[in-house]
Amino acid sequence: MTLDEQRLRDALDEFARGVPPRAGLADAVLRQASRRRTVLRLAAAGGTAVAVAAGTTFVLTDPLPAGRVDLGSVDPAAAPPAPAQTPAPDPVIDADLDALPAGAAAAVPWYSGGVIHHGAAEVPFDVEFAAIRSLSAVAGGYVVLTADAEGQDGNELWLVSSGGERTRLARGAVYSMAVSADGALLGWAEHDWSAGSLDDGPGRTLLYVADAATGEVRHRREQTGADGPVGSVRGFLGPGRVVVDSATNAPSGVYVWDLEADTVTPWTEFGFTTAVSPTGELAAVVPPNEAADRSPAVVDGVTGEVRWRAPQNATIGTGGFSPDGRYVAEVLEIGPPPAELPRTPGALTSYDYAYEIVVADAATGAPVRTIRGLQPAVVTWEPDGALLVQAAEDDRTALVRCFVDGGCELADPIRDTSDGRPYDLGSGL
Amino acid sequence: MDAQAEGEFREFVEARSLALRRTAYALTGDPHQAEDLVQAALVKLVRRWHRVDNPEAYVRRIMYHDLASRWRRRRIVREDAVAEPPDRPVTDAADAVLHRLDLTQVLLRLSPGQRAVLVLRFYEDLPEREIAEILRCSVGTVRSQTSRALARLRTLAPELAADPVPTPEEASA
Repeated sequence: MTLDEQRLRDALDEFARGVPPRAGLADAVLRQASRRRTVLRLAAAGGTAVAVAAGTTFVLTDPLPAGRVDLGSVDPAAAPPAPAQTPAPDPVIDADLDALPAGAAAAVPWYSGGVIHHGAAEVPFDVEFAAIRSLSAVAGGYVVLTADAEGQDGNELWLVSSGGERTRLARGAVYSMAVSADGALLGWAEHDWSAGSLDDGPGRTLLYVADAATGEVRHRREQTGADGPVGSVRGFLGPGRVVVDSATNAPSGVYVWDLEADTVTPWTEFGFTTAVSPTGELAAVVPPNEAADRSPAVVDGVTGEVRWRAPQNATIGTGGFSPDGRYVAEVLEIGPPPAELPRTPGALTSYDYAYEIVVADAATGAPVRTIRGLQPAVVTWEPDGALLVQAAEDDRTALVRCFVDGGCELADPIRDTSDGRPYDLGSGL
Repeated sequence: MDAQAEGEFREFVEARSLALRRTAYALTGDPHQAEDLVQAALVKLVRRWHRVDNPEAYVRRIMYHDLASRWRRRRIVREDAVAEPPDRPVTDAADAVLHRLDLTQVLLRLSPGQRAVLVLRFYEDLPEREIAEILRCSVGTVRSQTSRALARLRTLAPELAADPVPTPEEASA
């Protein structure tokens, strides 16, 4: 059977032909090219700002929108007075890529050009893939979850020794993996869609926890029937409990797999888990997609009860919790929700969002430090408790290290991204 | 950007933007996302105008790269649950317009990489070598990606097959 290529060509032609000519595009591009950095600088200044750039008036109102947890304590104007002899560092850091000093190399593993870099170590990882979904250090090496260019069913989970020897642990619909705090255990799940449906999710899921040094499977569980979609591994709540999501867009909750009892039981009614504290004391979750309030929550690692809620425009990424579990990094998108952006037929709709990274007390949500001026693509933590941000700015990117005590520096030189991503940390927002 | 460069840039946009926007629409299937994609690429072009030898090739390359980056950076990524959709039932041959409408939906269900290679190959009619250059991969990868994308299309839209599989009723007749 051959495909009728002419039908395909005709369909594509007809599809694209619906795009009408557009006047004023060059003007819009030239305006945008001259204003993008201005927007970021204005946002970094905080407060309400009005500016006129290249004939365009735009307003940035309240970079701390309604719904935000109390950020008063991170506003310089509202900060408590510091002792006269030892002034407290400014709780707000305005980071400018071009002005940051150079610092030590990143202390978390990252991938570039067939090599896993980790401090001074370089470990070959010459495997063909489209993207890295997860990359973590484990006892004796690294674990890498790669994505296939062709779809979701060709993802591969690799164990890579520090000497570069690699073992493929799984291939298929593996969407996530998690490593225990001590790096000794590795968890993942393989979903089987052959018995499922798009609405209900995969009909069968196999859950695994293995020795992260050898790959030897320690625990295995099969979920079928109504429980078939449940099992996407999100993190360890200590050595014996694993948080698992459902591999469906309409989850029935978040569950916990008790390894010794071999039970999977409901844990919270939230929809998805975005991060789990390495200490297992807390987890960040978000409500199901259809919920009116989609603000993230931080829940108790034992009871699943809500400790505090983040604002609607906040994201807590997979690497959001600090290694000691004391802090959590939220990324706030400052600007109108996409659904509220005005749409004009035939005209460009764009908005230059600014971003804030808020380092908060993980137990209470109280802001401790706010970093402005960076567009974070990845936020994670180094083992010693420094925050590491892969920051993007137009066609540049850099690894920026920021300290909870104040100050930021470059953990890798600014690199050009016009020809693609120069490196991959394997986690995102 | 000096006045001469700005004039050259305006001429380029005037001449090529419609084609670029149509390609972006074919890639994304979303008019707003398509406009964003083109404009963002053109903004990058402006900043490199003096250093770019082939502006159109540069913009197209940026568009494809940005599309892949945006896919990866979706805020709450839940594409995981959307695995292989169930095969469509084999239907009676419908009219050509209906086929094209169906194909539009089918194209939007391909992965970004699969859609990109089909748009480059069958909409832009680019030779494999140029597709490989834009996607920064080998010609062999372009061939295999095209083959796999077409195979997926056959699964999702069996009516596109030159010799469609007969319906059970037709087979038993």
